Amino acid sequence: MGKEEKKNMITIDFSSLGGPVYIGRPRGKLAREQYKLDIIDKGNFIVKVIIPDNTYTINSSYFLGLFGDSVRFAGSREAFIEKYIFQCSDRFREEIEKSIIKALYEGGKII
Amino acid sequence: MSCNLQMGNKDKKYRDRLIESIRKKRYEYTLERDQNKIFSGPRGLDKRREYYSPYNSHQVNMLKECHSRLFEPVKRKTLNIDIPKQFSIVHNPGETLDVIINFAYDIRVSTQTRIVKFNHKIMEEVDLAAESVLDRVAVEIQKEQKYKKKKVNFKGTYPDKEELRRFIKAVGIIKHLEVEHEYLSKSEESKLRIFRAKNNTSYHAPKYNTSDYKEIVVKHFVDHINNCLLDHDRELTDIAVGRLCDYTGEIIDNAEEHSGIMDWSIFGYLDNIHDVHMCEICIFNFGKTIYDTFNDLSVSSFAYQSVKPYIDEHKSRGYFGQQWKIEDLLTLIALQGHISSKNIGPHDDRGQGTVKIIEFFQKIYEECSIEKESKAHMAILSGSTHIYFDGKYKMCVDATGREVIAFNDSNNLREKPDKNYVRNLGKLRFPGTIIAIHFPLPSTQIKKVS
Repeated sequence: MGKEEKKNMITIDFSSLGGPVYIGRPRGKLAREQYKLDIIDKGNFIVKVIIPDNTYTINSSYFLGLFGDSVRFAGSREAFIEKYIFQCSDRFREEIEKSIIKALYEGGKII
Repeated sequence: MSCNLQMGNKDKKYRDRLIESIRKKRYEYTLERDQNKIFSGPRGLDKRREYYSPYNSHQVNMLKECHSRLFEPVKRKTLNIDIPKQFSIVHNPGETLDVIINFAYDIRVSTQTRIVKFNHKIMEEVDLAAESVLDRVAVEIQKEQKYKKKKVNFKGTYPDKEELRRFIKAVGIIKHLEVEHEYLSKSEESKLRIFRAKNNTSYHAPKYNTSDYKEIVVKHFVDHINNCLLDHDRELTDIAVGRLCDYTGEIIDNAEEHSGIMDWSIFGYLDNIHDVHMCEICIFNFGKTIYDTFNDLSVSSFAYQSVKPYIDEHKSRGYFGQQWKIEDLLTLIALQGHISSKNIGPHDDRGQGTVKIIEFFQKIYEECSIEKESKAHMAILSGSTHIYFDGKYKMCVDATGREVIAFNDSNNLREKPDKNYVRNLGKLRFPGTIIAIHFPLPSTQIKKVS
């Protein structure tokens, strides 16, 4: 499980999830189970997500496996990024935004 | 007196051993007699081969089924594989595929064969895809031989050109069959860039905290491409690294999820010794073709419904015939942006990897190239459909906002494509998909670009 820096702060460091290439929904889902994000989504937590600079790629399938259900539980992009704070370089932010849209679409929501 | 009439302990033990030995021989004889019954009949030889050879290559069997020979070949002790002058999936797919398929067929049918001879003497042009697929057949045969008493030996003659000999030794049949005494010297090999990765084993469950094999291969493949560029004072940007990872990952995903069997290979080669620094890449997998994955879809599925209008249009215009078939149209359409047999809705963005990776390398070539005379050449071969890329036709955004490459002047998928670029190979087909890419990089004699 991630470190608890504050009482309600959880950290997900991608360097502990293999890498520097993150591909495939099954691996994303396994990471989700490991960090128990289903429980964290329902609780009063803030999640800090650290993506190292030496990461090559996080493809949308992996992102959706890891955070897809969290995006849908949050219900909107704004609610999701309020709870999940991404610490990463700008080149990943565009991919994250696209993946959030896909996750909401998969949940049947239209943006 | 009594001890002469009664059997001693030693005699008893000898008798027991003798009886045991006779029983064992009788049992073996009975077993062999029953097996001979099983192995009798018209398919007896095949059954015996299967029984005594635990490894029976699916790949060779699939290629054998693709043969178009009218008559069985003469069974002989030495099987000669004559490599043609242009042994290339990109430029000469028909003749090249014919050689590979006939090799698989002949080796299966001609059970007396003890020597296979690869004759590269007249070969003047080769691409990595052609050589890799041919070598794969040889490696599969070699694996099967492990369990047999009478083995098949491999021999060959090198091509005349030095760079082709180097190619054969570095990434060709010499390397694949591990003929160690013919390997290149370390100093020569250090001037080459070689990448080899394959996965033809069963599925391994992923773990959350370690990269799986696919991710490791993608990472090393991207590093290989970057190293090829670094040799020429270039490197990929961070965004390019990400994109190449995504495209390669999608191609491998397609190979694993669509093909029906876990079997994909990626090879890369760059010869920095030769005057022309040709960077070659080959990705191939056995199993279902691109057409097969669409053909297996339910008619009501989103993916099939997205391609159905084009099939209907071509049918109504009477385009389909010997040289243009539904298989070719579906293979072409599968390359378009956002078209994939895995898409379940309009926001799915699968179906970009194959053409995107080709255009990616076209772009690398254009950015690196100082001489505009030579071109990048690429091809996709899936089943009987061969699609050729040389930069003449490019992916463009159509009126609906989707990226389309139709291989005709109007870039319209409802029209027939240029037959020089999208064609059907007739009776020849490859049981899977091959992506072959080669493009020249500027040699160091040319002014270095910072």
